[in-house]
Amino acid sequence: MWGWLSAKHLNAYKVGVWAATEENEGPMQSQMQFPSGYGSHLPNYSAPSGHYSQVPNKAAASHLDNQYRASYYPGYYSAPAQNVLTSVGSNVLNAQESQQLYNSTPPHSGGSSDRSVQGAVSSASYSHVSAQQSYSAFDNHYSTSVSSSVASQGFPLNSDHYTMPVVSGAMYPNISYPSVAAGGVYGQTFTSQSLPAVGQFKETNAFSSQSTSVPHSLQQHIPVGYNTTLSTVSSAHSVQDNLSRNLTGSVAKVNNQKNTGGIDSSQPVHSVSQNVPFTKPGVGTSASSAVMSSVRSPAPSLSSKPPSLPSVTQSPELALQEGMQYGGYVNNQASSAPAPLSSSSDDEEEDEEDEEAALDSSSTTSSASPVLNNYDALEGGGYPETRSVTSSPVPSPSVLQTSKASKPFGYGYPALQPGYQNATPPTPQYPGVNQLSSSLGGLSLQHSQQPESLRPVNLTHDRNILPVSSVPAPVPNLNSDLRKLNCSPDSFRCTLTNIPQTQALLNKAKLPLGLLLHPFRDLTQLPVITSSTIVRCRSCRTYINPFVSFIDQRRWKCNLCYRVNDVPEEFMYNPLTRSYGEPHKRPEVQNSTVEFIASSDYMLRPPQPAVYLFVLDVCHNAVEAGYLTILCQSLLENLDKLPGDSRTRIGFITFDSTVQFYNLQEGLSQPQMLIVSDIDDIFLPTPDSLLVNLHESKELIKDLLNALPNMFTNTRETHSALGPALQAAFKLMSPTGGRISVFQTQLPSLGAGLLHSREDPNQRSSTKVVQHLGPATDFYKKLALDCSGQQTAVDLFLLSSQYSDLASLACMSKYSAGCIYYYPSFHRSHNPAQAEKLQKDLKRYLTRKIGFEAVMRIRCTKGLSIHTFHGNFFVRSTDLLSLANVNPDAGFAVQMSIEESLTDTSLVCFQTALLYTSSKGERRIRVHTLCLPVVSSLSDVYAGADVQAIVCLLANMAVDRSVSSSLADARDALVNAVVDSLAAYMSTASNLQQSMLVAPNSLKLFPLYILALLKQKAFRTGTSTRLDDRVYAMCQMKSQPLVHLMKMIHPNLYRIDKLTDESTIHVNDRVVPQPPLQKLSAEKLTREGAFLMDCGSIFYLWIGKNCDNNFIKDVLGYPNYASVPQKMTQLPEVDAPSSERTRSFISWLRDSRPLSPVLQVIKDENPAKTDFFQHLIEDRTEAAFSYYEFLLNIQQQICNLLEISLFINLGVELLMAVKEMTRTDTDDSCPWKNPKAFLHFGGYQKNFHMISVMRIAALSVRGLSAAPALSGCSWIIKQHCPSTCSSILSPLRSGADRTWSLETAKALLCGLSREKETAELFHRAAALWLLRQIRLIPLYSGSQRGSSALSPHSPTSSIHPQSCNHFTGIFTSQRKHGRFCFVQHCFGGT
Amino acid sequence: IIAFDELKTDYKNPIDQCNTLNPLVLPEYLIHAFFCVMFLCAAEWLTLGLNMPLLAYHIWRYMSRPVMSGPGLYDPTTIMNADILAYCQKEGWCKLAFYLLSFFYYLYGMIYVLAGSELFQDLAAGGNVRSIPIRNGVVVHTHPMLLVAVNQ
Repeated sequence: MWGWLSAKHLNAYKVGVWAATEENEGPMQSQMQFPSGYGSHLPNYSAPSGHYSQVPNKAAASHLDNQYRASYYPGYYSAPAQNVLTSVGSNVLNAQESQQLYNSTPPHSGGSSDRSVQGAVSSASYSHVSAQQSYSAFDNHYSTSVSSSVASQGFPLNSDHYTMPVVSGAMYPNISYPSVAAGGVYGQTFTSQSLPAVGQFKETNAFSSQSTSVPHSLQQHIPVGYNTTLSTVSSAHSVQDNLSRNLTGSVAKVNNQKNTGGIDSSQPVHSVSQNVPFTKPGVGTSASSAVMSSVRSPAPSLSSKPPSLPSVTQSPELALQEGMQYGGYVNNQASSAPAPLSSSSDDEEEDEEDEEAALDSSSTTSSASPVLNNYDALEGGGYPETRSVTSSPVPSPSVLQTSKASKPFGYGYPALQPGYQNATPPTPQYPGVNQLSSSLGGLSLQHSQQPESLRPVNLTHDRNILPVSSVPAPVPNLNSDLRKLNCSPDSFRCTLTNIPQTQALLNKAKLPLGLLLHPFRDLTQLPVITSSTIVRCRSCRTYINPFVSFIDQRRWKCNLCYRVNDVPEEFMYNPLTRSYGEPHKRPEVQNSTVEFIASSDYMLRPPQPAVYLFVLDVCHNAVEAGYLTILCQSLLENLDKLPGDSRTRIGFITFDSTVQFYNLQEGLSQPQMLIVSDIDDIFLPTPDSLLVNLHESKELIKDLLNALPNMFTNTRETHSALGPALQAAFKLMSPTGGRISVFQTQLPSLGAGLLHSREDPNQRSSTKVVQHLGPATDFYKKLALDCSGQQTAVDLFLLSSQYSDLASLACMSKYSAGCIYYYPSFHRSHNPAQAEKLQKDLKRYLTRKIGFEAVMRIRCTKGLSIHTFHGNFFVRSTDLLSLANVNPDAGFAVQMSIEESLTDTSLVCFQTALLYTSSKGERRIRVHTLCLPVVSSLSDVYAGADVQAIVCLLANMAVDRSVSSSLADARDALVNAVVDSLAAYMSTASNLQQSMLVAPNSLKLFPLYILALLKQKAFRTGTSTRLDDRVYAMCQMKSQPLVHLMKMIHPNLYRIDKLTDESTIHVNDRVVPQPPLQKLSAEKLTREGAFLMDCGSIFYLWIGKNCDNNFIKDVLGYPNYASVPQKMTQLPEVDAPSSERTRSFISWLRDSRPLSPVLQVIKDENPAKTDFFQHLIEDRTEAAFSYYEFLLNIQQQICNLLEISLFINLGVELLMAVKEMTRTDTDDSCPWKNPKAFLHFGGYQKNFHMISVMRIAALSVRGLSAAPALSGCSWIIKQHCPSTCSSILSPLRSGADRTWSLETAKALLCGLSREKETAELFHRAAALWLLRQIRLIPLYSGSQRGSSALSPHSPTSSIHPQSCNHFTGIFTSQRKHGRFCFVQHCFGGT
Repeated sequence: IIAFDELKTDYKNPIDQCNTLNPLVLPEYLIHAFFCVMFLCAAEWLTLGLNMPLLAYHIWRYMSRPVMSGPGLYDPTTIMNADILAYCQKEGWCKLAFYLLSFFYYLYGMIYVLAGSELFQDLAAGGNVRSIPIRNGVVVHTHPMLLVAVNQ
């Protein structure tokens, strides 16, 4: 009833929006007039009803939120709605113009705009399809304007493959057709104003070919059909199942609060009451069939592209995600509904709209080159929107599973991809509860489908857990529009996309909580805001962001500290729409990644110019290696591309045993070299003329660079005075700050900071202690801190063939926010691969963006706090990182802890603000904001686990650990991380076979990645690893962004000798094949094949001995296998399809990352093949486990762990139960009197299985005391369970007194199984006691043995092995505070 | 402790902080060691026993300090780690408590001895000595040394 009412309100509300938009008034005002506004907002927000009824103080907050949302979204969407509906010129123009205005602000506006515009128009001119097109365009447009950095990605699709929306369309029906039904129902009840909704609904039936309209129509109806919340659950795999259950009117056990991004899972009653009225079977099914038909139709029309593999993985993600959006978030649809409605009118109008929408979106995307982004997206971890870009209309596995109506294209994949696991709404799974609820029927308990991300995966059985394509980032379970606004996972990622409510819950999950940041990532489109006042919270200084709530026109509430701030006058004016009074439409509030141009308040001094200093090693070793030639050449080539303005300055220092400076002052005829040989007290010979203006002295610089490689050819100097040279460099740079690039080729051996060789080559492969991972001296650290204080960063290029103590040298970059490059055994001619790598790295290094004098501050919602930072920087304050330089390739990791419980909030936000001086001398602030939901149950936490982020964070932590403690410790910690989390999961999911190793789908790659980490150079033992290599790998782990780090940890392996045109994607007019990912195991390699391994910074192309000659001829350009040279780093351009395919694939992979990797061709007899084979991490090596062995090892450890914790937990449970039993309440409200209330009481504490069982046992013992057996039993309980727990615990501990427990169990079982309702419970209770008696041993040595051990004792035959497994779940951890301590005490510290 | 609190709440630069703190660490430890030696000389076995754990801790702490060229314990690059900061703070509080308690214990011992040796009138002077260090806010245990000197 209540739900129906609220739906009515919603209708009213929607009408209100319509009125508002048509009258062209501020939607806000008209909003406020509705009395029903409050009610109608209920569904918007994550915790429907619960807030109001139960938590009064929270109601206010959510009210505010709702209000804000109500006023905000309709306002936002009303502009497009106007376009669409009325097509009034002025409106359209206005909106469009504003869009363009807005988009012209980004700095990168390049020439690609033409192209995309054209594309849009042309696509819009598909006459029939255009209807879809409009939506896609519209859709994209709206996603772009929301997260504009992504924007360009959505669009090109649009022009090229408009298939994207269709895919999503195909997905929607599964997810949300009940809403259509509801929409239909309520559509009839609409007033005249709400007519369009009905029209739209009709249209879905009518234009079956226009499948794209389906999603939108659904979208519209969702607000009406309030029960769409139901469907949120269904975005998990078996939708149909779920729906059918709901539709048939059985007790709606759907727990939708979970899905609505919500918090309060303890209010199932409300959800039920809302759902039931809407579930009308007839309508639902008919609607669904209609939708189904439309689903099928799009495929042929789209099929210009063959189904591609990645699309298989990507589209489901999209689907689920969309599903989530629709289900989880009603408000957005409510407000956005008007927009697409237009299509219900005649075709002409639609076409117009299409064009407009397309234009709009093209204009928004105009400034970016779309191609690059596409790559990004394909690369994995792309934006949700982008993913759809590359997907062709292949029904996803989820579709396959759920709706048989949709036809599969391409492959049906047996295992779902891990990526979209998290998109599904996590629903807690309490098997015990389910059974209770079914047996006790009538109690409305939570019951819902198990979400995909929690689907248990048996790791030891499922061998093919690797996805076919790259692993996408999980999408936070948020409302659709929050999700659209949310920061891209590429720049900002959290290890848990569902934040646990309390630290206790986090501890229970045994997963690390942290953020992985890539803040200065190259973005192709970024809204840049020039404003004299940057709106920030007055108390916590948070920048205004999309997740703040506007209380009214003039005030906003900070989402981090909850302070209410005033909206400044200037902010009321929106430069984008040129309108006044719409603060919520400002780009700051529409984008989670924005860049402000800061005013002088943000400067301590005038912005510094770009200053580059090169400190070059020119001793014999360096000259021999020949890096100078490469460097000078690259520098000459890129001199004009160095980021900077007219003030850019550059300087050079060289050093061997002395330090040489170069006077390049303008006016000199040739560069002057000044030699300072007093290295103990270094000074600058001519401080003014050593750093010179790049443009004024360009000729001199060029002269120097040309001469430099040959100047030292005959040097015999073998010493290296790096320390003094650095001191000189610091002195030179300290007035301005800037970047020092150090090139070093050997161990510094003179002056300050000299180092000694610490590595013992014989220890390289030892499995024992690895020493000297820390610095030998703090000279470099101090220098780095000094540099950091003077805004100077030191970048280190180490090109050494021998040990050069990177552990010490790296400090200079680590603490000054520089970067480290290491080229082991570098030689220009002997090691061409390294030489090429240096060349490519230098090109990137010299030309990439750079930010000077930067600081980064990370803020998070009150209650969370930052624990530890990882990366290259200096921590200046608890949340402030000082970065002398920031470069686009730097990644950071942050460990978080939950200090206060987050129960009052449903969302948490993280904000990173990076304040830097651009190379053009502008002070800019780049702000990223990430918003994540808060959950209260453990399974939700698991559902939201982002395995890649977790692994990267763990890698960072392990590096710290190995430096501060030891490598062995770090390795143990890594293994324990897997063991603990899986054990915790297995004890949560109680119905699992304990004899197997089971992981939630979201974490199924966890053991694999950890094994890969253990086999990394950084952490491996037993394999010969040079110390420098190891340290470098550690440095990489600390400073690489997630995407690159994952490649490093777990490379991608493709088979490329049989690339076909099937399953390709089209990027920029090129066909890029998409071979499936292979397992990193030698079993996948065949002698007949050729394999490409993508390790991030290097590609290995392995060619089997019997590889097809055609392939070798076409792709490699050699007649046969034998003639392929050993050192080959390039693929020739052969005019053959296979060559073309291979090259386009490789270049596609290359384009997806900033550092262009080197290709290395490896033959079987090549010595470099060990490099290749060491990456096959699933195989066994002499010193390390294979993947399967590793799993078994983990399983063993989990068993041990579980047994211990089981023992403790059981004690806790028994203790509680005993307390309950011995309570002698006479109060009427006492749960003893009322079994149902009692159960409820038990259920209130989530892990109530055991407690309830025991309570009911006690209850029934009392209630049926007439039976002699039971009276005996109760007597026994009374006798043996006094309130002092020692007497019950001591027999437990000793394992003695067997008869007592057996007797009890028998009595319980016999007597109590008479009651049908509780029979099952008592079976369990009895078995529990029995289990206790036989001390749980058999349970974990396999269920078979467990059951056999049980059977002789079991009083009835009704206890079968199944019940054993129940019990393991029953002992869910209850280690809470005092209880745990108490039991520990009782057990004598077990 | 105050310093660490400042570090945590305020925006004081950790480098400065460490620079001010590090020179103080070694004197503190030395003074404490000196005390222990004095107690040893005075054959105050109980007092010595109370102080030995702290001495051992100090030695251990100094042995396992990060790689540094100068004296001191605190490394500006790691001090901001929440773990280390919390640890340092806790350590500071514990030590403060210990020094305070031992101060009163020494005071008691002194008064006891004074009373026994009929030098009652010196008490006022002793009181003055006591209060000076507190007001200066110098490491608390500098004055027990004075007291012990009186003692002897």
